[in-house]
Amino acid sequence: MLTRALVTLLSFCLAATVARAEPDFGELAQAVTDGVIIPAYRDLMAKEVALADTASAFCAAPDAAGLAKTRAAFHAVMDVWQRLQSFSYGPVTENGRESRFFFWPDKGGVGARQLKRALKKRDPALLAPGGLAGKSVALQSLAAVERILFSSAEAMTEPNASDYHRYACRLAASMARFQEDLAAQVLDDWLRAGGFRDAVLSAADGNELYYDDRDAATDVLKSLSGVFDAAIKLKLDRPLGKSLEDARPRRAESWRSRRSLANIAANLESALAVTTVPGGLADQLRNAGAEALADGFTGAIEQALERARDDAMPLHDAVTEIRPRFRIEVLREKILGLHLLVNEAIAVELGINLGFNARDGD
Amino acid sequence: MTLNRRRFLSAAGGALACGVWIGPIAQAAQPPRHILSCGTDKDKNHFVARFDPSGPLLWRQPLPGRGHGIAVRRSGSVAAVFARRPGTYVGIIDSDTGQRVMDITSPQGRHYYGHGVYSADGRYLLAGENDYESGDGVVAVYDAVDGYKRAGEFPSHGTGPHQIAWLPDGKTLAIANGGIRTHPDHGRTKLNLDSMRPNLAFVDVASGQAVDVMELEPGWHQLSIRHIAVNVSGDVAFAMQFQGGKSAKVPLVGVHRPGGPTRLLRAPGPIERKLRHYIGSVAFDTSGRVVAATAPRGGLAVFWNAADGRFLGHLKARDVCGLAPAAEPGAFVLTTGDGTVLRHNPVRGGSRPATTPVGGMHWDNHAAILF
Repeated sequence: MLTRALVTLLSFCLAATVARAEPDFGELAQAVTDGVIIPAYRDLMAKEVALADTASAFCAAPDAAGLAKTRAAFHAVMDVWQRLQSFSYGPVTENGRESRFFFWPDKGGVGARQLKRALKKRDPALLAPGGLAGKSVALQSLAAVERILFSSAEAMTEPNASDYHRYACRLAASMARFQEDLAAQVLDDWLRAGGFRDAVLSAADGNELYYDDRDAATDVLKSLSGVFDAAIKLKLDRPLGKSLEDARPRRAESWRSRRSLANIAANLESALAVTTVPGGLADQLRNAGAEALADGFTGAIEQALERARDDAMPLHDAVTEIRPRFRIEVLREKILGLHLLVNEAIAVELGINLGFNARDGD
Repeated sequence: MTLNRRRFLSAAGGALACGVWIGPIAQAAQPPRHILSCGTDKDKNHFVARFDPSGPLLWRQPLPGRGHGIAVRRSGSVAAVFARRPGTYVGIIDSDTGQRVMDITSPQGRHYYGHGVYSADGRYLLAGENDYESGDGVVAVYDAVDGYKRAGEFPSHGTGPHQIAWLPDGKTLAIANGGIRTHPDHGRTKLNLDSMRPNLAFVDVASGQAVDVMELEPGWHQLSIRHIAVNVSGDVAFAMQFQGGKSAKVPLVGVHRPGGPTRLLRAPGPIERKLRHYIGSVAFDTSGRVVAATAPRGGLAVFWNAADGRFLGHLKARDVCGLAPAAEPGAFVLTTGDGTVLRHNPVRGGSRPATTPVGGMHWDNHAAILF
């Protein structure tokens, strides 16, 4: 009897070993690189070029239609940048590039002051090609472009626009050119031989940047966790404040261009892309035998996305009114749920450690 | 719940998975040895807690921020809980009740690194500090009998004194100078990775003079020496964290006796690689013969025979970091960021979860033993 029990136990163990499905970390990292990140940087470059061209044309012959076009081009750039915000690893993390793309939150108002000073001084050198390289992020980032295009840009369209406004317009165009170069550099750092894409694709064998392909997949998951965390802590909690009375509308990201919720939606869109791209997160969860989690996570992102796209009222207005504020709080709950799913269930299912002690250790 | 089962299995290191576990492992009756550890709960509340490794929590006391190392005073009834670097407070705790007796705050221009020790007689509390404008490492001395008044300080003979420990003579302090310069204005950013020069310094506390300073070969200057443990013979086990490229094959643990040679403890290649260049805690067992080290990023604990450097094996446990000697020679208690507590004996083999993990609970980097 004992023998039979042992045989049963052994065969159970054997079966368990054989049936134990494994996620393919290399496939996940490559799917996200080639299917999501690199196309998004190409898209970003294209949109930056369009913004720079539109802005230059607008500055040369300013009118209301030109301003509307320039603002639309800015929105198109932001849509892509906010999707890329979900991937905080690789070349974009070097040389402060993330802040150069988009410097926010500007907690001490340093960026705003520096921009103000530059607009007062009106140094023509900043308008020359490459004139913004090596300057402060306050003069380079899309947050500064927004400030120029959305605070008092109507004054630029007047026939007798002041030097101040003429300069501001051209500075915004110069910033767009800088952004175009920046996107090109980051893309090149991904794609050149021996670049970051090569490191991701050869991660399984180990290299200077990755211990193995699980390490590369960890970057993907860590970034997802990070973007949900930032959406909650920076993009929602700061403007929400502790209560209705405590709401701080101007702490909302991109409130001037009224796109705070669109930013969050773009963050969620890239989370969805990471999940649904062939070979992506959902496929690897299925490979690991976690079918329900794959579907559940996809559905949960779609639900949050639906909330973020409900732009009946901009976020900075919504936080100050009872009913709309409640809708923002629901969105927050949804994203909190996504954060928990990534950090707990998904990390555990895939055997990826985003753990407490493993992170930012001591 | 497949999720819990998998977590449990991975925590138990696969030894349990296929019938190696023969019921609760027979253990000799042991005196209770309680553990003190910092932790964080699912609502992100930070605390310090006392627990019996095989039983429940005895108490938990809230902390204003994430805690790190804990120094236990001779009698065992008082403990000093250090804030995680760059923290500026030390909480003095009644370890019987968890009551916070008082706080010590670092002086202007200084912060703690998260570790300290009491002198053998319990009179003084010593703590590693960063004099962050100069970047000099300092060991501060507080008089526990005189309301923890600052009684003096001496140089750590390096940058970034992380963990400190007494040699058995009770006069010489071993100091792990991690070599990494940080400044509170830049949070936890490492400012000198290219030029860092860690060491293991041995300082005669009466004179403040270094009696020995151990440095590894120059090619390994990015191996930050962070954690140490000392056995009864005066061997110092040191554990490191590598700051260079990920393909480097570097040692992460070693044993050094002041004035003597250094023995590097290497694991078989594939296992060493899985440690991911990062050791979180190091300890000797009660006999002083076995060295254990935990690698939270790799989800592994590794064990060696201290005397000849023989590798004794590894244990898989997700986010494992806290480490303390169990009463039984050769055995250790290990805690994880998943809230599990494990017992493992690399010599006799066999590991088991010591307690049922509490959902959402994270045990922090270090576990201290209370006798």
